Amino acid sequence: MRRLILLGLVMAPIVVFVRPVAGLDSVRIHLKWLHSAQFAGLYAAEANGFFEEAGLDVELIDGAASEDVLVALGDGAYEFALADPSRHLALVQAGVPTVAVAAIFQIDPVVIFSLSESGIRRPEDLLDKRVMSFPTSYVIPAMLARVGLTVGDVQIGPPSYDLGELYSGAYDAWSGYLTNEVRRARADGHDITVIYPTDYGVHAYGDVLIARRDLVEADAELVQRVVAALLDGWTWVFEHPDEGAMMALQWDPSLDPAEQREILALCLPFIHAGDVGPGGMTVAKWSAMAEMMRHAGILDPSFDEAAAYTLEFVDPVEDEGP
Amino acid sequence: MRFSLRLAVAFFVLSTLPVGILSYVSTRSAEQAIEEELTQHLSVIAAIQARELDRWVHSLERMIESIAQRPLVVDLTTAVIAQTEQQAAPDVTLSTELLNVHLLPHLRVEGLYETFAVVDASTGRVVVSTEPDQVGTFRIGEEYFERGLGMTIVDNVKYTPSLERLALHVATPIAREAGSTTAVLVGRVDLSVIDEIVSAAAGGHDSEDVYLVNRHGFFVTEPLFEEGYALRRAAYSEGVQRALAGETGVAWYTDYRGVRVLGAFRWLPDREMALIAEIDEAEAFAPIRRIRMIWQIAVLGAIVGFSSLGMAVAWRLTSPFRKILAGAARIGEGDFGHRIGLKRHDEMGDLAKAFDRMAESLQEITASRDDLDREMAGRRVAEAQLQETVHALRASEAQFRLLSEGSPVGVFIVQDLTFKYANPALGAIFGYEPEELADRLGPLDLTRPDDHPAGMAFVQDMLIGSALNQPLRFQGARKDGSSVPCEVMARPIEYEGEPAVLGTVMDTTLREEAERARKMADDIIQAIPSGMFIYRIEPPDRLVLSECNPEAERLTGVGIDKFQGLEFDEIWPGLTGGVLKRSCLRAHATGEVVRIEDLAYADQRIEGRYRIRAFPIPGDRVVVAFEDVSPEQRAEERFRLAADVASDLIYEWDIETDELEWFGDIDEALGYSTGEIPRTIRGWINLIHPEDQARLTGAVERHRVETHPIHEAYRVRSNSGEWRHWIDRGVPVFLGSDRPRRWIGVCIDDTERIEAYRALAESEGRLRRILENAPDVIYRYRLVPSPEFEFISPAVYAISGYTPAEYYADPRLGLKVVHPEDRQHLEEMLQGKHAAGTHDVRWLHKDGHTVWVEDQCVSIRGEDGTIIAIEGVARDITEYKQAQEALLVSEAQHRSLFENAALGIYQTTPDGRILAANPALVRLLGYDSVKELAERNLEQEGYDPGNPRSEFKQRIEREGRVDGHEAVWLRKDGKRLILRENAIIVRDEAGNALFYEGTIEDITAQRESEEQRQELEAQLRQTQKLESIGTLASGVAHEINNPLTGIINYAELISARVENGRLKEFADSIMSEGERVAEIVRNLLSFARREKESYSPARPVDILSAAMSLVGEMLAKDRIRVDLDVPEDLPKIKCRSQQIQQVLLNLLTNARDALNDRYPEGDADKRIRIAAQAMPTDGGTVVRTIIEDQGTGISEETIDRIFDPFFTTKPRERGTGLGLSVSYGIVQEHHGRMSVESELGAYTRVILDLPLATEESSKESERGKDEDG
Repeated sequence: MRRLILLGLVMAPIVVFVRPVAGLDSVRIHLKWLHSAQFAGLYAAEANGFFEEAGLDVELIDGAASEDVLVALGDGAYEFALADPSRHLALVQAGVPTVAVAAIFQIDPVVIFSLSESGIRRPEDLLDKRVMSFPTSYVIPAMLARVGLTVGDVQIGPPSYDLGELYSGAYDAWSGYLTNEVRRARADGHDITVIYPTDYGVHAYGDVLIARRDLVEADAELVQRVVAALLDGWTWVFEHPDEGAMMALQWDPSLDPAEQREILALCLPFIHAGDVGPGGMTVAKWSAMAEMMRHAGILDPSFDEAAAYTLEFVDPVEDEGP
Repeated sequence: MRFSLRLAVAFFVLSTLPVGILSYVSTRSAEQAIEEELTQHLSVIAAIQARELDRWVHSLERMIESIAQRPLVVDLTTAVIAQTEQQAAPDVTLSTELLNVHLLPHLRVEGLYETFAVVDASTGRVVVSTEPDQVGTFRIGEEYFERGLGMTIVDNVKYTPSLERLALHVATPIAREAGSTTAVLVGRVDLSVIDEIVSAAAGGHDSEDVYLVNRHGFFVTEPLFEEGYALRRAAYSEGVQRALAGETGVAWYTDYRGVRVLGAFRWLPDREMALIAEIDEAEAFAPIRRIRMIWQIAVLGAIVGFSSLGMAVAWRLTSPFRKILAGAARIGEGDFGHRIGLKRHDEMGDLAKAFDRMAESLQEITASRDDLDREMAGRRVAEAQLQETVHALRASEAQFRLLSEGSPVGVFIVQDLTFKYANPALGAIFGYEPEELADRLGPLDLTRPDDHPAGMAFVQDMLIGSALNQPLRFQGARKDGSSVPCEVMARPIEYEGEPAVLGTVMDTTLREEAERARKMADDIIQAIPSGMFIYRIEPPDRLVLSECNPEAERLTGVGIDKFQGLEFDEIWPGLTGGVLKRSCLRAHATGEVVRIEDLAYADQRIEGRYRIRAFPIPGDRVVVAFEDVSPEQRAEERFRLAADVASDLIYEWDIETDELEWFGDIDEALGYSTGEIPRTIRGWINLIHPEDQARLTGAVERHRVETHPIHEAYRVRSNSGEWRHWIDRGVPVFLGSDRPRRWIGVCIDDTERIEAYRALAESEGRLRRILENAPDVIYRYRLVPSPEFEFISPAVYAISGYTPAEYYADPRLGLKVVHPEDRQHLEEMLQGKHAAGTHDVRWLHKDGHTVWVEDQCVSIRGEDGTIIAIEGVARDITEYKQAQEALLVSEAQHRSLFENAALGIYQTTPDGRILAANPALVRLLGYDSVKELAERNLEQEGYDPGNPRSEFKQRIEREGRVDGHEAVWLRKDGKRLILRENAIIVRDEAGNALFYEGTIEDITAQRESEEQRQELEAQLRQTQKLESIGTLASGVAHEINNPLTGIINYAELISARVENGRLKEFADSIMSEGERVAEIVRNLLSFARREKESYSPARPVDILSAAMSLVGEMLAKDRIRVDLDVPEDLPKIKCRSQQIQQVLLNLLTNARDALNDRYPEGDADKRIRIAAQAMPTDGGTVVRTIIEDQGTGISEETIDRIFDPFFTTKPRERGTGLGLSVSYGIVQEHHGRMSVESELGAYTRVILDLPLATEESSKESERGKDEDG
């Protein structure tokens, strides 16, 4: 009898992980930001039934800035999250059990921009200037390190979402998405000068799909299905961009259709930039990212980034091709 | 279905079927032709575009490599990077030169680069860029940079965030030697060029769409129908997917718009892209759609025309059938004496005869019936007699009954629908006893229910007294329930005072049999086209052939005479199991027609498939009809019919009347109103195209007598004025004559087909012209099943001397023309050992000379991956190769000229940096190497600072060239050189100066000798001047001396005689002034006198000491210090010592005066420096004595005149102006030189060179002394 109880205790967690045979597997994916065409691939996978065909019941949770999503992911609040890879690397170093499984944005659209009249054209020009950037962002430190400066040489201000503070001069420069804040500033009629991190050897992925480590280890097949269905969604969007952009309105009817079309058109070249197919990741790029962050002092010199990602799920997906 | 209708349907089917087949076949073949042409077209376009793309990429690589490998670019880059590393203030001139001279000029080459950047290999930092704001940015992490460190790479087309658009980068290392990359030269390419290259070949078709996709299926260039697709949209069409799988080919599929297209696809492995060329199906097959519509109209016309014709023909053809039918009907109705009497010698006639014979037989069969009829007639007579007898013997019913009882005909009396009387015959007919009928049953009881109404009506008619003229037929109901066909005749009578009906009933079973026979005749009629055999049945089961029809003879190929009397099995030995025989017996036994739909039969004589009908006919006979249903037979019949009717319009031309009758609406066919086209041959010819008229008229005349078929093609004018192409085919109708009486023909409108083929020929011709006129050889060499050329364009003749025909004839010729040394590579490629690509190979021309060919080819692989063909383009590059070699030779010559020229040759930037210099210039300027010289700037270190380069620059910038510009330069060791420059300016297209190019010649020696010559001339002039002054002065002095002596003497006398007073003062003044004049005169004489003092060697130090003894004290008094630097061991000079002493005194006096003027009191600088040394000069060794003071100096204005006699700057009481003139003259006489350098207010330096004494001069002086002595 004792043996039976012991066996029951050992089997219990295994049973928990066994999928229900008849039903769909429930999966929660936390978005990187509020609903917008930036996540059109997810919407397309949901709307076209790719998730369902893969045996998945997916819940999309839009991003609010109140919690550290990756920490919450590590704690088991979600199964997946779309997040910034640099933050992910920093948290993996800190022991958060998460693994990157696919890179959706091959290029990070984050840039530093300012009103042209400010005369800020290069990272050196940021010296002693007030810059809006999130403290967790790698962009400013990495770029400054390239030109021999440090974060201490600029005044990093508190996080803000109000571009009016840039227009009014409260900030001299702003860190934001080329596809979002820069587009908005231009739409607001401002003459903008952009400093592109890629011009300073700062190359990183943008939105990366990150999974809980225990899920990756225990149910790789489920992760594979999620990644495959999501990339099918993006493939569909590349063939039907207009419909893809409009799907965002089903998640947030208050969005402006024309704006969503514009956002998606701006996002697409970052998702497939001409070399690696959608979702693809390479060891070289992860190494370069980590090296850049070590150079900027964000990561410890001894940290090994190999623990932070796996190519297990994207290689076969990418090889399948169109 | 009626036969005529069936015939009409057959006509309809057989007429429309060939038209339909013809239309299908023609449109299908045109479709195939167009598809084939487009396939070729697209394949060629894809091949050409791939090649152009490769060519363009090679140009990109060549250009960037040529820049990066320039030694000066390497030097400049290294220097710029070194500066950057040292954090030194950047020397803008280096970067500017790199930009202006080496990078910017290349941006102007259209279609290649839009920017260049030099990136530091170690830091990834941009150090020089044609976009100034890019300097200082980084390329680290960019794939092209990382890979470009080691080799030249052409990156994929990628999205570049900072440009916010797509870009293509090419990178190459800048390295002094392999492995020591200092920088990477990165070029960004103008991407619009790819679009232009890719879409360049598109043309000729509106929907022709050529585009590139990357290995993920994303557009790289914009497709024809959309914008903004590049890297934003993916295409997963079949063409794209197959290209991405590495295939090259052409296929039909749905493209990215969802439109069906014919697409050529090709994978470009070097570019990692797929090239897709597509044409919409709708456009490709537009001509086919038109043809198809015309065919549909034609088919519809044919249906209407041939249906009508079929009806007419069927009516005519079935006319004898109808006659037979009518005859058969009459026979069937019992008129067995009727004869059809059709006088024909064909199958119809035979059939009619058969019917007549059958009627005869029936007549025989119904002989008993005739007897009956006769009996009936007798009965009627008896009846009439009975009527009489009724009256007479009304009471004698028993007698009637007796009479009636014996009648073979049923007799009855009916009253109130009940038999009042029935004789035994009536009972026998219906199976009753007579007593069962009378008063019990009525006529309706003996009638089948179906005939009750008619029976009732009949009886009632009788009762009201209507006469029955015709017998009534009905189905009688027998007691046993069976039916019996009957016929009743009756008339009304009065029976027992009441109305009644008296009638007779007759069993008509026999007549029914006759009717069945008639029905069988119908079936037989329907089997008319078949072979018919009539067998007589001899019990129990023998079948003996009694007759057969001609079709049967045709079918079996044997005449009836051979078969007659034979048993069934003997005639059909090939039948197994007696199927047919059993069928015949069954037909005979059942009286029904037995059908066998498809019987395969074969024996030694015949073989075929037959549809068989066995009809039983009276006389124990069976008719067996054979219809040949062999497919070949049917096909042949169909073909024959189709050939007769497959046309638009049929005509009949009556030769005698010349009338032309049309079947089908000729007017409508040509757009005229009904009847407008004349129905005569003459009128028809008037509608023919003038060019065709004469030919057709001749044909008409010929065909009046000739019999071979008409086959003409000509153009007919439609009412709209359009010429339609018609084909006219006709056959003669002889109507018993030996010459044609009529012609029946068919006209087919061939216009659309001709137009389609013309369009096709044009299209094909266009493609062929492209291929045939292409200067390059385009070929496809097939490897399986056997190697041979499938196509090779005519350009091959110009290049190899062999015609395409020779290549087609000899499959190995393609290999044979290749130079043996290049052949192995080609053979290995054919074996698949290495990939196809671009190769420069040598061909041996037929006449023996060698031709260089650039062969760009691709391997075409089959489904199993083996190479099945090679496609390629070969271009004659002999001239290019020769030019290349010539260029190398020329370059070598120029280099040799450059390296070995005596003149200095250079290239410099406008601001003086040396880009190139030859060894002569390096030597001239005193440097050790070109490199060392290249580090200098001519503006600052070449030209003498006192002689700036600005004048040269102004001239060359203004005039574009400078000839013979002379300037003083400084050698590396500081020596001054006078150099003459010839130079031109090299500008870019925009007129900006790129660099100067010129030669430099050292003319220092030439200039110096010229100066010397000028100096000598000046000296000569001075000497001549002095000589003339001397002559004059000596004359004047002699003249003055005498009176002066007198004046002084008289003044002395006056002074001596006057003691004191003013007179004595006057006399003393006269004396002193006189002495002064005397002094002047002495000097004059001394100046002018040619003293004969001899030259002798003297030590310079002695002469100087003597002079110093005279003025030393005076100098000391004036507090002037004298620095002497005159070695005692100086060689002796040849001189007149007194005179040289005078010169020195003169010079010292002048120095003293100058010092005193500047420093009236003492001063540290109040001194005279006297130095002497021996010095070699052009004219031999001299002793140079320099007397230098730091007194007032001499102004520039006066320095040229100081040797002039009487020129003096001193107050009148202190100088005569003759001292320096005299000194100059003395030095001249000593063959020495005296020159003065001075600066006003600073110094005066007199340089005195006197030649050394030689042994000869010593001897000479000795001789002189002797002579003097």
